[in-house]
Amino acid sequence: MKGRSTTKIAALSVAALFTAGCLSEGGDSTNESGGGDDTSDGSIEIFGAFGGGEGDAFNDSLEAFREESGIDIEYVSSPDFTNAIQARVRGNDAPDIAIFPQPGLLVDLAESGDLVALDDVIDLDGLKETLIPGMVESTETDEGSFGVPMRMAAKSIIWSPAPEFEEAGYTSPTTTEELLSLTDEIRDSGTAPWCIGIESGPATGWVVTDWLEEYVLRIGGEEFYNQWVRHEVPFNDPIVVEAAEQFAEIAFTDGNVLGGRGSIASSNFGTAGNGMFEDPPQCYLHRQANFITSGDFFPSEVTADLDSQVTVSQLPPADDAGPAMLLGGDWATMFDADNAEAVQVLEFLASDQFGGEWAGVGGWLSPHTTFDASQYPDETTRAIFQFAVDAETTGVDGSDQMPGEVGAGSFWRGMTSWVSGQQELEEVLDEIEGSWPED
Amino acid sequence: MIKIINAVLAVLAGVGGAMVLYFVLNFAVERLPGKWEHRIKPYVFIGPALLVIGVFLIYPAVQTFVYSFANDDSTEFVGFQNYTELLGSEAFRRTLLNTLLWIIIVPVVVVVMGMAVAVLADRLGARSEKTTKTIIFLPMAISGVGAAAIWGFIYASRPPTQDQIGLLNAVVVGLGFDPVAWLQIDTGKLNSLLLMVIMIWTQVGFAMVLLSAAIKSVPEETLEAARIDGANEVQTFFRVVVPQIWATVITVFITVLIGVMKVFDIVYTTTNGNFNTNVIAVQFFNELFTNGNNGYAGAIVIMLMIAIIPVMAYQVRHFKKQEAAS
Repeated sequence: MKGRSTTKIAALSVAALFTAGCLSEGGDSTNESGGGDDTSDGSIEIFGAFGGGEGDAFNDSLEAFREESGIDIEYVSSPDFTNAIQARVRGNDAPDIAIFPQPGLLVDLAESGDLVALDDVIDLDGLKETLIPGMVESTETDEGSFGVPMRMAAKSIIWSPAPEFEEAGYTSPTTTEELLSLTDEIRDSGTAPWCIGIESGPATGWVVTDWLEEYVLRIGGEEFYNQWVRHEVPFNDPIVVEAAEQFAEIAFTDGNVLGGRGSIASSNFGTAGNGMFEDPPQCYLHRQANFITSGDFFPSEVTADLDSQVTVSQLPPADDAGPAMLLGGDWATMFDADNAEAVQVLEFLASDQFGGEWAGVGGWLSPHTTFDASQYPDETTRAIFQFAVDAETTGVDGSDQMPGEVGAGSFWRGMTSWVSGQQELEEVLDEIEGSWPED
Repeated sequence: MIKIINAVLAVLAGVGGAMVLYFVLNFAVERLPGKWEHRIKPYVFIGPALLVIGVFLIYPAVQTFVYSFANDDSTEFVGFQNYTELLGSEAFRRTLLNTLLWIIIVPVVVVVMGMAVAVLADRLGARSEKTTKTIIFLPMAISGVGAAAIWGFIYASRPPTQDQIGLLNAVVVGLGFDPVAWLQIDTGKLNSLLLMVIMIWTQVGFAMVLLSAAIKSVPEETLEAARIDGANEVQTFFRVVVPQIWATVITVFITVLIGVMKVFDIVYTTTNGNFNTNVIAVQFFNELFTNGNNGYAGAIVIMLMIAIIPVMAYQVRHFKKQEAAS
């Protein structure tokens, strides 16, 4: 009797141990076979931040390539990309290709050794010949380049209401001098010249950081700009102070901004410019990147008939310098250099052949100067693309490249605090300089 | 689809595994000689639960404590540097002050308003009482983010020449004044107070329900006795009703207090701590996720934990007293 129960215990214990063992092993094996599937049956997972209409347009742009190459590409998106990609990389569940909405985090992951340097994987030099300068360089570390641009945003765009802008006898400014005198002229006519809004929920402030970067790039030049972004010169360098004062002259002069300085921080970045489309216009100038025409930012009557509703010009350069363009974008990168199919997909994403379908939908610009511009949906987009192609000075959004605690932290916060009049410029710039991480 | 099946399988296997584990352990313990069976059995059943709490609560807490003395990526110890730097920074002291104001103002207002509604609703007819309480209880069902979005439309401000979509500014402009950017005004902590209103709005219903139940359980005889003795309604309320529901008042107060100490969503979604409205939980989130500074984040949480301990201790003691009394 006793003997029998002992065997029973033994059997049950083994069963229990077995179950416990099975559990963990079961988990592992499903993961592994999942990973194995990805590579063996020609399926490539792309992980990115944009979903909805943009995700559909991205998928459409891949359709022809899918059929031609026979590679099964699956696009997965998460609005919480920034946190999700870090969790996936740390959890050993990295996608084959990830598309980063800013280079900063990509460089962080590259420096912690999670990414593959692309220099030996794809023909970067060939790409650079046709890419707009600065796009690949923004993903460089000492170890090489880690990302290739898949989309470009042109930020130095001034929007004006058509045809009211011309009817009032105004012309697009080509120098900062002209910009300031145009501002004075419009103000003297009794209308606020500018619409500026920087409210963006928890991300409030990025619009002012763009403004400051615009003038750092224009006043300091490309080389200084890149040094400043990489913190090789202090954040509060006198040139930066000068750049900020240039913005202040535009935005803080009484009567220059619709609603006055106080309304800048409370107006939403997406709809702040809509004062232009009222009758009569409440303002004539609005600086925002090309994305503003997609989504629900401008009124739908305007976006439906963009060419006859808006006039675009480029934020003028400082003094006698050539035209300058501040850029943003999305960068694609990969995690495993031996994955030949992922390399193929990445090469396609980085080429000037990618994106025709998306370009037709709107809100997408190719980072290649050789991209067939006839694929853009309207003249306005073509004009913006041409501004980027013709720019003599280019810089990639600085706050996107700076370390998170500055680029998405003290820089946004400090600029907001300055614009809303809670802190003085000098104090803000000193604080941001102080917040720069030590290594 | 496969992921869903996997999840279902994992849940089934997990629950089944746990059952088998308990069954086997129980079976094994029952085979032991009588004395040992009684000695070991409790631990067999409480052990796994303790283990889970240890792994998922105590271990991370200890780890956080350790990390709060290390540098930003937890590779090197820096002593008290995180604490001294945080407490030495003007911005963090402002954050502490704001949090303190939240702690002082919100629970008191919630309890007082909840009590007022409970008492007044108690005097209505049965149907209107139900309706009133339901309406006041509704915001309870709205998450902090949802409430912040709703109130965002009340505080919204647009440039003067445009139509105001914010309720407050529509009134202000209707009276002939310029619109006000409510959440940017930190004079007299106005913006922080306006954010507290959101929290109060969501919490009053909770306070009302508990206090109302407590008030209804106050024996009618005690009230009658007081009235016969010549006490007026105010005296009856403060001298007879309040002492009898005091235990509930404390419970509500402390529950709201702990919620307020952790307040995050409302501030994060409306201002993200800009315009001098920062609170400690938002600062923690920003240190950990935006700034990637484990050291500061750990130090902030430890300070918050230390601040919460006395409150928790008081509540536990209060519960024990109540249990002993009943």
